[in-house]
Amino acid sequence: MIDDADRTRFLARVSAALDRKDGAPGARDALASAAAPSSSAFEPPRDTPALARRFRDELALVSGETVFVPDGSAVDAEIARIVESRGLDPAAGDVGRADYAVLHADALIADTGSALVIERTADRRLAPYLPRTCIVVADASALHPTLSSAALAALLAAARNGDKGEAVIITGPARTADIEKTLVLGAHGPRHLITIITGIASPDESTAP
Amino acid sequence: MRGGPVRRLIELAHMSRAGTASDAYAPGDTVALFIPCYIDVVFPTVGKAVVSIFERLGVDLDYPAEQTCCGQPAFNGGHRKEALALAARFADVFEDYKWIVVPSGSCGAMTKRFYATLDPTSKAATVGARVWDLATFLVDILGIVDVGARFPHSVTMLDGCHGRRELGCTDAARRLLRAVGDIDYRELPAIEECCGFGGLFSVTFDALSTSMGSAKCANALATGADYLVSGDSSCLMHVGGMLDHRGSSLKTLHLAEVLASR
Amino acid sequence: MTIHFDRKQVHDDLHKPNAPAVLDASMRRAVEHKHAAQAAIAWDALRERAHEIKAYSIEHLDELLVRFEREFIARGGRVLWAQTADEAASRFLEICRKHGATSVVKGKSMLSEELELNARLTAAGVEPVETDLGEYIVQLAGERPSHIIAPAIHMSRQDVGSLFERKLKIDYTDDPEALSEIARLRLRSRYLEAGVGMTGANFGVAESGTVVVVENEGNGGLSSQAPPVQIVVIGIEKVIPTLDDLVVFLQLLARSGTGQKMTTYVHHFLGPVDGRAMYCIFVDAGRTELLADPIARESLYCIRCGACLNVCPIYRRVGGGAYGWVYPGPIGSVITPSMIGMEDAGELPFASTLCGACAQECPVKIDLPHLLVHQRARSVDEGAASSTMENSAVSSWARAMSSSRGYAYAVAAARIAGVFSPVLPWISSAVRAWSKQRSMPKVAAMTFKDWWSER
Repeated sequence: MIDDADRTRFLARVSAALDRKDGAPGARDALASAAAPSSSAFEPPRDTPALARRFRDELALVSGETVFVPDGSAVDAEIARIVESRGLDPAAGDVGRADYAVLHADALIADTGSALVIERTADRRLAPYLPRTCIVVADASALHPTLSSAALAALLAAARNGDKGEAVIITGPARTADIEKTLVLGAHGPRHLITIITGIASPDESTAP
Repeated sequence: MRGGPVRRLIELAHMSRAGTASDAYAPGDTVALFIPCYIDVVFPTVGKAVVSIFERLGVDLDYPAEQTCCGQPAFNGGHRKEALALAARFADVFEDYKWIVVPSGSCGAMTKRFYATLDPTSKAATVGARVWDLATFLVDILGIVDVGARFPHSVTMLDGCHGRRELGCTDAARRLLRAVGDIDYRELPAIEECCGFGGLFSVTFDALSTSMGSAKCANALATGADYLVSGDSSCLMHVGGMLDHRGSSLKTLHLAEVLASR
Repeated sequence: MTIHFDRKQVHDDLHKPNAPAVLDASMRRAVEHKHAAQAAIAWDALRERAHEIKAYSIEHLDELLVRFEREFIARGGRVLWAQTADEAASRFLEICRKHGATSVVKGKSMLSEELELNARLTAAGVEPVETDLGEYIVQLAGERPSHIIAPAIHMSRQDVGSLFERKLKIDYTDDPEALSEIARLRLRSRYLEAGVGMTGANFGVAESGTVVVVENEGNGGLSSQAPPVQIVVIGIEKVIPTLDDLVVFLQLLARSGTGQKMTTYVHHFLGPVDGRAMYCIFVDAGRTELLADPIARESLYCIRCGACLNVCPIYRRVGGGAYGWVYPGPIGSVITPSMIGMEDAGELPFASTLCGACAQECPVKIDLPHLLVHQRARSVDEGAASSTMENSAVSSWARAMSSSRGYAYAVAAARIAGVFSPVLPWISSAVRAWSKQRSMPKVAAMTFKDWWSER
């Protein structure tokens, strides 16, 4: 099925279009690129509570919810509480039939309310998409101010290490505005997205003057 | 890393001009008037207004009478050969002048920006770089915002797209207008939206052109101003033509005519 | 199969602008929204960087393709190369046959529109199932998407409600939430039954052989991950060098197209896990035509965000269908003539005032007005311009402008004709077109030249 002649012909045409004097291309080993500039005017404060507050507020803008669990060992109990209060069926962990899935995030991005989730196995690959409710869990130490190479370190490492599967940056529940630009949540992916941040108490409400 | 092909044309033009940096304007420097063809023939009062402004400011003027047209209609129409020929002619006519001023954002952009991408190393590109639209010349080169004008009426300003986006002269134009004595300046809603003239577009795609012109008329009328002012007579020819056709009392004037008023 | 492009229809649509009023209003809102999102970050610096990365990528495209291939294969994927739409369909069908797939769930892909993939699959007995809500709606309606980002933007909720009632045999509702839920439920089983899932790609990263797809609905994740076989159909121009370059584009993409800070999902496919297969089909389909033109190749920087459409006064008035092919707006007017042919599509680049609003919005700083003029010049050179009468008018006029005497003659002729131009046959149609809604400009009794010479 894969014909070498096809490939050669195809690539030769690309090279010819670029007016290459030196024939067919090789793959250069060193790919030039400087690090990306930081994207946000948001100046990252040093304190985690500010990042946590920003994350919560940004996620709320895209209709996601945030819960703070200071003691990391209590996270299972919190998940159980959420599951029970909403009447969710775990379906014995069968992603295809469960009402919810629990995802582990390698990073949280405060600027956008996003979570970086990496799934590496076949049975988990639909966990972020099929169930109606997604519960994302991460520690406060995983909070980063902006979308940057640093924030995406786990993704970059997985890509560079040859990991298989998928790294997905999730920002809120699934949404569509395809009908008259009216926002509808839970189009195909989850209707509800709850992020549990451990290792920090709920940040104080800001007291604006 | 470097930029795309259009960027590289612009860089090439810059490099070929390196070492011919323009100095500051020195009193006594002569300014050559570049009066666009349609202003010469349809709106000569605009040209006269430019002359009277410079005379009031004590700037030495010249008008090389062999000038014809910068070639923009040919260029925009995809007629490169004709555009190159007219650009070369422009360069010959104006080559001895250090300062060239034009009361038009679109002709200003053609000469100052597009001669460079049309033929980066040509004489036209070099000479074109010395062209300034009227507003930018007054404010940024001469350093004058108050030209001693008086115009006790309400005005709103229409921004020609080339002047706005290629030359960035909106700010200068607005500052000049606001400094006019007794003027009541009102900002045009949706000022960044094109009026729909676009040269030949105005007749080859007239339905689109007048649709866009309609929106511009509505916005101008909504300000309640007595005058619609612009640095581009081409835009005014189109929008003013629509206003007139509708029997509107909203009058149009070129920026130069307002600045020449006492 | 040849690409269907109705030149006469395009001409008519461009001359009778009739996009629904809702389009202008929604584009206006989209632009305001985006500008607010952009103001929050160092937007222009990002655009500069993105432009440079794309410039590098396109200039080194052949090397990057080879590098991507190497890395993707190392991750367990397989790469195929399709020069034409026919070849792309063949490769696609070979994969379907190999894996016994009779239906394909599809994430949104403009490229698959270009390739008319759905029709080709259907003809070969493989059922394509559009899963993006807007695409699902237009597929059900048998129409073409009218906007890169919002395919069903031209339909009201009542249109959609009637469509679902008719085609899905359900009770009428025009509540968007209810309609979306209906689509969601209908598609559930399709995802889980399909033998193959397909998406386009926003980026292919050469350094790592990984593929990036962004979306909001989750249908992209489901389409690519639910079936055992994943096919990515990707235009060659999508390849970028490194993961750090990718970060620049991730920061840029949502704020350009939709004004969100991030799309809901940014998928980064790392390669097939055990028991699954993943294919990339790289497609040319006219891209090397653009690539071979040293100026027009800048159009390949396009990341398909739709920003240029949002601000274009022409697009707002004619709507997406008027451009005759898959890509509307300024970018469509640039690339369609190269990919479809100047003879058919050569009028498109002329339908613009060159106002530059598009270039001001473009997140990768493509100089769209320059490219439009470039395509106009090519159209004239190839003798394909829409009106030869216009061409000779411009030539005659340019001749007149080339000497003082010619100029004086033109002015004299204008006084006689009442209009400033020496070419009469074209003039009467131009005068008619001008005068429908505008007073004619008058030749002044004394020109500026006259006045100056008498000073």
